[in-house]
Amino acid sequence: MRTQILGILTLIAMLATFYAVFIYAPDIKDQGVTGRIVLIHVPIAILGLLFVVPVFVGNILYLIKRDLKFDRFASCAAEITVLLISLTLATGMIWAKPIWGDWWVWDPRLTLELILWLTLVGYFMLRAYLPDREKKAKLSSVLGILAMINAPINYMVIRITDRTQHPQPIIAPSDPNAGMAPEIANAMMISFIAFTLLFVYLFDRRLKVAKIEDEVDRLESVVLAQ
Amino acid sequence: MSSMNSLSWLYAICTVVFVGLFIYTWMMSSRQKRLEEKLDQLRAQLKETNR
Repeated sequence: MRTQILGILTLIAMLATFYAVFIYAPDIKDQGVTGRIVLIHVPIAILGLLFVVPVFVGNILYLIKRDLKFDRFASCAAEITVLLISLTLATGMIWAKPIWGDWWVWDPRLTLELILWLTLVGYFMLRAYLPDREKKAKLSSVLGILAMINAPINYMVIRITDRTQHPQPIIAPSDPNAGMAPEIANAMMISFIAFTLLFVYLFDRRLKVAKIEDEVDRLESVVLAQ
Repeated sequence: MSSMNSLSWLYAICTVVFVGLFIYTWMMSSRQKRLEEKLDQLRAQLKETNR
């Protein structure tokens, strides 16, 4: 029931996002229509960094309590994070081509995002390689924790270095020149809410699948023991 | 500027995002279906053995 309600809310919010991006929002200064890509790219990128937190919390709790349910929680969050970061990289590249004239530049923000993606891909490669469930959880936790080190640096990097092509933050209370038109801000908020609902919905469904996976593993070992 | 004013980049991004999400959701659903079938099979097998 909870998943169904979340699914319906997501659908409504997504329709509102389409309206906001294609009809309601004005073009972004100096970027034309293409600039509206940020209304999709930015919420996905923010969520990508936020989803690293449950990966970290799940892995830390597993290492402290040695309960596999925390590992299950962390690995599901990591899967959603990989999806989010993959979409961030893809949408960023599509924005970069018309605006910067190139698909990719070795900018600190982009490079850190790629390292985060590789760290989490490594997390799943390691899990696929190790057959033992406990060992899998213990060793992959290291990579989950490493991802958390990357996320705040990734968030801060455009604020602490001038050597970046990436646009400066548009929401920065300390900077009087920062800010965006109210219509853009509203569209961004609608898009952020819609994508948050969507990825929470996917995370919820993924957790359910992981629970079934664990039950199958448990029953398989019971059958084998008989 | 003409390429900046082209809606095709915006359509491209929506296509990439929603195709990506569709593939992920489809893969997750088929995985869930497969696992549920296996779970039923294992439960039936255990029931049979315990008789």
